[in-house]
Amino acid sequence: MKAISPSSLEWHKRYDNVDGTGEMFLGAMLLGIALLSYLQSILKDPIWVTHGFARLIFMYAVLASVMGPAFLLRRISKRRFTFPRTGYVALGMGAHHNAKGTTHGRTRFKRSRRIAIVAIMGSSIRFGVAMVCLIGFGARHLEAIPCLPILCDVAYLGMWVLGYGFLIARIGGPHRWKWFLLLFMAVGLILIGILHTGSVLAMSRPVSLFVGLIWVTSGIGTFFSYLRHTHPPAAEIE
Amino acid sequence: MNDQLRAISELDRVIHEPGRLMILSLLWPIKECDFLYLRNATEMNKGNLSSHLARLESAGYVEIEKTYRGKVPQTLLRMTPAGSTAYEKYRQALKTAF
Repeated sequence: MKAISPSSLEWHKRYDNVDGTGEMFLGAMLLGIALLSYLQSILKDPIWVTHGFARLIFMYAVLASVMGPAFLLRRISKRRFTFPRTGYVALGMGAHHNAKGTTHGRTRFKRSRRIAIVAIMGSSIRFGVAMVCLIGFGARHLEAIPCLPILCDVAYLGMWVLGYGFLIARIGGPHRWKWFLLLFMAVGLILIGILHTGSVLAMSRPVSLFVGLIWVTSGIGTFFSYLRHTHPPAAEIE
Repeated sequence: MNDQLRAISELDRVIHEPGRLMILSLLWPIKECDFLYLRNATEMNKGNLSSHLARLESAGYVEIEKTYRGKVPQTLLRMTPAGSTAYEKYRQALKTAF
């Protein structure tokens, strides 16, 4: 019998990616972004692709064409393989959202959640403003500080490595090979950074493609490992 | 009797049992799950899990729905509002006690 610990209560969050479909979906999202970015760089002639309201429709159409099938595949995979093997769970609004008579606990839960959301939003805004200021400053004083674009590139590439590292630590599960994949990803991103001579925006295309492929690979590896190590139980009365 | 001791003496005994506490802790943040998920998460055997669930159902803390996934029987489990309230009270009582 397992001991109750705070991490046990987070079980359902890790369980959502137990079959690797979460990583595959995130990878597909990045591949969609890479595809969109490449299409926009190639299709410059019709002005609507890169400017105006039609650009938004084009953007959503391209992203939906990649993420829609990925979403459907994820659902099918969950129903076909995951739920019969290790059980079905519906996340979302749990029972704690309709607890009655104990507003004390509810209020504290909601307040902490609000604080977390505000803190995350605040940090994101600050990070965004800092990046914009840094890029603007770099554009104006490129001659004065030649290493500034390199610092921007390092910050941008490092963000991806940290993101994947966080993903592995949080929902990666017991797969040590993922740390080697992280190392491979870091080496690949360093190579992209060295070989690419354009701006950060131009570099984002191969980076999205590469990171997307890494995440999809990681998800596929997790999926096959899950299939190998789990088997559906024999049907009997529960 | 002081407040801390009173809080300990008034702990809900249905929830206080470790197996049932695990079940409620797992059901609390989610909408619903099936028997297989709970069995994997708690690593209890079928008999134990069934008896704990029956106890929780009789206390009105858990709702059990027998259904089918295709041709395979499936037992869906979800925490009731009464179970959620009792669980919150139990948590508060533990915090008061310690």
